[in-house]
Amino acid sequence: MDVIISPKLQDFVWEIKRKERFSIKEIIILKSIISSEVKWMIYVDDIMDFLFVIGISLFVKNFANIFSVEIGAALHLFITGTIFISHKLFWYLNTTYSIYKGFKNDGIRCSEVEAVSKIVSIIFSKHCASNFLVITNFLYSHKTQKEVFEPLVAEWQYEYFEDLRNKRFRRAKMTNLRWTYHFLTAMWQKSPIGDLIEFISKFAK
Amino acid sequence: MNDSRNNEFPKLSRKEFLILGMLIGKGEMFGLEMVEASEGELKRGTIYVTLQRMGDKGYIESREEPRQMPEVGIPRRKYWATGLGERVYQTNVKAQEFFNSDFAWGGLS
Repeated sequence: MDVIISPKLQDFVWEIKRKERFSIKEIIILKSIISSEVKWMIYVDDIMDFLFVIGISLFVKNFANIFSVEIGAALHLFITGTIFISHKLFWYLNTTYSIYKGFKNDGIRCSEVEAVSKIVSIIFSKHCASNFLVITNFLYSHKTQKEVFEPLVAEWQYEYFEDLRNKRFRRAKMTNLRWTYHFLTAMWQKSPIGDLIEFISKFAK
Repeated sequence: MNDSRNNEFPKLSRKEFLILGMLIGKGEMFGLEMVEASEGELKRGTIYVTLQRMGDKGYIESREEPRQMPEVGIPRRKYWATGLGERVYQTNVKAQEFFNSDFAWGGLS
């Protein structure tokens, strides 16, 4: 199975392949969602941070020895270390939570992920341009949204899905790039500046 | 003329002319189909703005075409020419024919 377009995931397309894509962090979190055994987790994705954690654990382990040698230095190291760790811990927790929350907000539920849990890796992409539509929804009128941007995105998605269905993954990326440009062009055309330029050009004619 | 018709000649831009010609000739079409059929004259980024303006003028109408399973996403929009659109197109074709004719360039004199 190469491509699944799940009707359950309203705004999502799941591309499932055996290799590549999806960041490690996201895969781990996805797996954590799949497996109900994992209650919590923190991700350390930087090697220096990883080494720092090892260093701190060694420091804590040998705290008594260090403390007996030089009390001032040990205290200083302890305080700065604690602050640093708290900051890092907060950052990792926050990042983890935001990714997890993103999955949840995007409508991915455990039951839906379970269906593909045996596959080595999961490539998933948000329905293209959904973020763009949020922006235009905010910037332009409902009419413009309905008559210009939504049809444009609908065709964008159509072309993108066609590429995916025909297993033209590289071309699908190019399609996304091309349509991004066209979307921005449409945004420019519908902007007040675009209207002004059109008015001036008409007036000049 | 004493009726409610607009006396101004309904000029069509090149893009509008092309779109109306396709819609009259081929019937209902999606935006992307028009882009592909135009062989580079219409662009993906500008066609929807043009179509919206033509819709405002009453030259074309559109409806959302529901996607077929297992496709998901925003429904595509299908466009067709209205009666007014066809009349405006024919008028422009005739105007163009007249403009290109010998008569317009003083051939009868």
